[in-house]
Amino acid sequence: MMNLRTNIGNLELKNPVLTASGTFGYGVEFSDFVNLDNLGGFIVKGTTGQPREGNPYPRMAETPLGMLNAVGLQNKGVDYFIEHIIPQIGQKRDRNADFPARLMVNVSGSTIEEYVEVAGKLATCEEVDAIEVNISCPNVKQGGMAFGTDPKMAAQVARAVRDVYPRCMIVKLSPNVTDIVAMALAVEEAGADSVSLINTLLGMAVDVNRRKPVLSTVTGGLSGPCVKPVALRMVWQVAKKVRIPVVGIGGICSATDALEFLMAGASAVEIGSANFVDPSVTQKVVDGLEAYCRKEGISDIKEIIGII
Amino acid sequence: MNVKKQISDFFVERNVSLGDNFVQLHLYTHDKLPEIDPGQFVQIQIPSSIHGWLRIPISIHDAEAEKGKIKLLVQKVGDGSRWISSLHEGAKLNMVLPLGRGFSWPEISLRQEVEDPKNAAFRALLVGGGCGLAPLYYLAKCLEKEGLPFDILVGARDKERLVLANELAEIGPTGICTEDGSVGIKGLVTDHPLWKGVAYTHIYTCGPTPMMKAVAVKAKELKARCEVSLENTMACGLGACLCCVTPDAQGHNVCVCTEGPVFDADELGW
Ligand SMILES: Cc1cc2nc3c(=O)[nH]c(=O)nc-3n(C[C@H](O)[C@H](O)[C@H](O)COP(=O)(O)OP(=O)(O)OC[C@H]3O[C@@H](n4cnc5c(N)ncnc54)[C@H](O)[C@@H]3O)c2cc1C
Ligand SMILES: Cc1cc2nc3c(=O)[nH]c(=O)nc-3n(C[C@H](O)[C@H](O)[C@H](O)COP(=O)(O)O)c2cc1C
Ligand code: FES
Repeated sequence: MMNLRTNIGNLELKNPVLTASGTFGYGVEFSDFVNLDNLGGFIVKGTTGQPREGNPYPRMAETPLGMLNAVGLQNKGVDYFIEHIIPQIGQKRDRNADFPARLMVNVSGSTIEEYVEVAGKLATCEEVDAIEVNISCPNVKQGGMAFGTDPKMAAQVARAVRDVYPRCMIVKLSPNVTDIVAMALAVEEAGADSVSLINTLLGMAVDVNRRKPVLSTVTGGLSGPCVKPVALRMVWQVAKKVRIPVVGIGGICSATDALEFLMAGASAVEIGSANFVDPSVTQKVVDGLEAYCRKEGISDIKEIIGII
Repeated sequence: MNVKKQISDFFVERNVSLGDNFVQLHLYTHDKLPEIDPGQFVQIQIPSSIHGWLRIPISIHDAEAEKGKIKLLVQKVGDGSRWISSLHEGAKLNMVLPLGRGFSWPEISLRQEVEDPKNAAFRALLVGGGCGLAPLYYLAKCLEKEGLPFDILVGARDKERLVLANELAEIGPTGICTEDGSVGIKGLVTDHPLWKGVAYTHIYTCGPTPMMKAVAVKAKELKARCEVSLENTMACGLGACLCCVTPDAQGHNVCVCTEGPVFDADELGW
């Protein structure tokens, strides 16, 4: 019997395949294409204290083997999420699953107080198995500089959220830093159960016919297969230095891509933009991991995690 | 409503060239298709290249769901649409469908009054240009099947750029406007005399945004209900990424791919 189970801190997953926040909606949008409970877990949209409208259109630009987005955390706020969206997600779950997928919520904010408010409210929701703290957001009290670009600010967010959220807390790191290992060590020290990386890389595209930036915000976040080598390098560097489990993200489109991240030290992976091209890709990656283990005679997927 | 979405392989039955810039693709699938509303769209997978990677949204131009057949009208604008346009008979095309909310028309109770043309409870005008005519063609066929009266108005810059006018004329009375007057009435679609002769109750429009805005203004003057179909750039097409939004009348951003692409013009903030 093959074992695809893996752990993020105290939280056990039935397999290492998760979905990346902002690319899988609330899961329900994909329930025609995948049985959500076949996944290790799904991480839903970035959730803030108050409802947010996000940035003006255009918010997306297609780039060579990737895309830029500037969605800007559009969401209906944590109260609406708990009251209305959690029940909707519940209706799409597989009640017969012997090991259900983990529901995880990506938490965002403009101030430490906002992160604490959202995490504190989610702590009261039994349905939420873990939170992923997105520190790539601008800190409005520090001139808009992202929490995730300064180890001290990142640690402050992590510590404050740690105090109000007792279950599994993943901190999601931004790649837009000089030393991502320093960021990872800072949030580990502050009590994170795991780090996930990478969030999107800051980028830009110009429409030469209009002589204007394509995105309404000029710059946006790059994702997709084009970021995979950078993401893989960062996961490998971080996994070598931290003791907590690492979740790998960036350009994963296939089981082979996922295996690269596992071998580089990730205990689990998140699939993002690839969901747009193939809405059933997550199921295919789970199946592919199983097929690989069978072919290679691997009885426990943990055998290959971090072998590089 | 809320039909299950599916991923299906389709095969090209015929690729018909319509002028230099458009092709009409006749496709079939061995999968069972759900009922498809006019105005809904598909997301087509293209071969990954440095030019493109995401799926391409294209309106459903005609459908015979029970036979597993659909048609698409594709304008060659960039690499993805050029690749689709170049497909030969037998080629395979992977699509996610049916997506979005399509056009709507009144229930039967209203329809019974259509006999009196002067006081009709329903009389529609379908106004479009370019690939915007693709969904209007299927809409016209559906209205015809329902026994609802309608006229069609096609706009183009010139004779060379006019597309689908003959095909539309086979389904219903079709007026033509060109900006240079090379065929039909000279001027914009909003200048056409059709608007003066008939008391339209429903206007359906799909085409370039300035055209749709002008049509919506005209519809408001006539106190007609107006439905517009938007073509915002998309990534997922499923309501998950929030890349395709447009502001509604209250200023809230709504997804064009799931709340639309067809909207009541009054619901929009433009
Ligand atoms: C709901 C919906 C229905 C559509 N229906 C049809 C249809 O029936 N037939 C058809 O031919 N096209 C339709 N389109 C437009 C079609 O999706 C684009 O033309 C296509 O994605 C272009 O891809 P490409 O790779 O060929 O060009 P790209 O290389 O991506 O783009 C080429 C040029 O076209 C512009 N462009 C690309 N997409 C859009 C867009 N959505 N709106 C405005 N400009 C754009 C780009 O800025 C660029 O200048 C529809 C779009 C939507 C959202
Ligand atoms: C449209 C879109 C929206 C996103 N929204 C969020 C978000 O709300 N919170 C977050 O932490 N990351 C967000 N991300 C980043 C992804 O979760 C992921 O880190 C990134 O896209 C890299 O993975 P990928 O290359 O597999 O897409 C978003 C990405 C995309 C493309
Ligand atoms: S295209 Fe993703 S939400 Fe509309």
